[in-house]
Amino acid sequence: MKQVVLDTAQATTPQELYAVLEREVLQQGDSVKVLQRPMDEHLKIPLHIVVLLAVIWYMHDKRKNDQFAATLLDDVFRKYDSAEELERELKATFDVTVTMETVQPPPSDWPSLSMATYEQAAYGEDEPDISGIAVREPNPEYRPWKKDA
Amino acid sequence: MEEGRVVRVAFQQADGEVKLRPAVVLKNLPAGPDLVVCAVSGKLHRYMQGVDILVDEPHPDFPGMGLPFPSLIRSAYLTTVPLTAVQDEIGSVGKDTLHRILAQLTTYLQEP
Repeated sequence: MKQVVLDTAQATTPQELYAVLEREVLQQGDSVKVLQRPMDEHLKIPLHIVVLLAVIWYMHDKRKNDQFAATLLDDVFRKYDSAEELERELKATFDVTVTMETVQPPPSDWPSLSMATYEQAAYGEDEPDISGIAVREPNPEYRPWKKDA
Repeated sequence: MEEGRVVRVAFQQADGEVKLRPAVVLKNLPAGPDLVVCAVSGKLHRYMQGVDILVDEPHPDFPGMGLPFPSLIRSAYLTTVPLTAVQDEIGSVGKDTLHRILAQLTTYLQEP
């Protein structure tokens, strides 16, 4: 019994995962340890599923005793070399389009956002210009906002 | 930053533009350091009885506030700003006015 390590920094596609299992000669009774980098909690579930499917696929493929499952997994993993191929077939067969978009994390600069909202509520749109009035004492701690902040 | 000071606060807008607005420092917070301030507006038509304080020429604090126009101290428009957003000090309000701001705010908040 041995432990096979799957490092997701090295292998992420089913084919790459399969290749690692084959190289390490995964056998009945072995364990598989997945090393993953810090990521969005929601991404851990699909990655976990892909790894489990890759292991099932590999084991069925080696045992050759569950032809239906092996064929099904072959269809899923071997037929398509990339997500683009799968997307094309989905589009051609069902006219369904799947797109991926990275959702930007909320800005962490809450003081800036909070202050902007407050300014709109507390002051008028056309307040008198005070940029040229006399200064009694400059604030040495003042840090001008960066334009792209 | 001493309480009662009138300061110019740099408010950054969503489009990146920065607006300088006057405010009265009400409290220093240890964290940050941050300041609790209330707005000072030149739009007198926004006056709210019992909440805003009008500081015009006859008001004893008018010369010392550093603003060349009558203004409203908007007691109920409070916010916390980082000290780094305060560009400079332009004036101050007297102790009576500072006390009145806090008293009005307290009264207003305690009203049923």
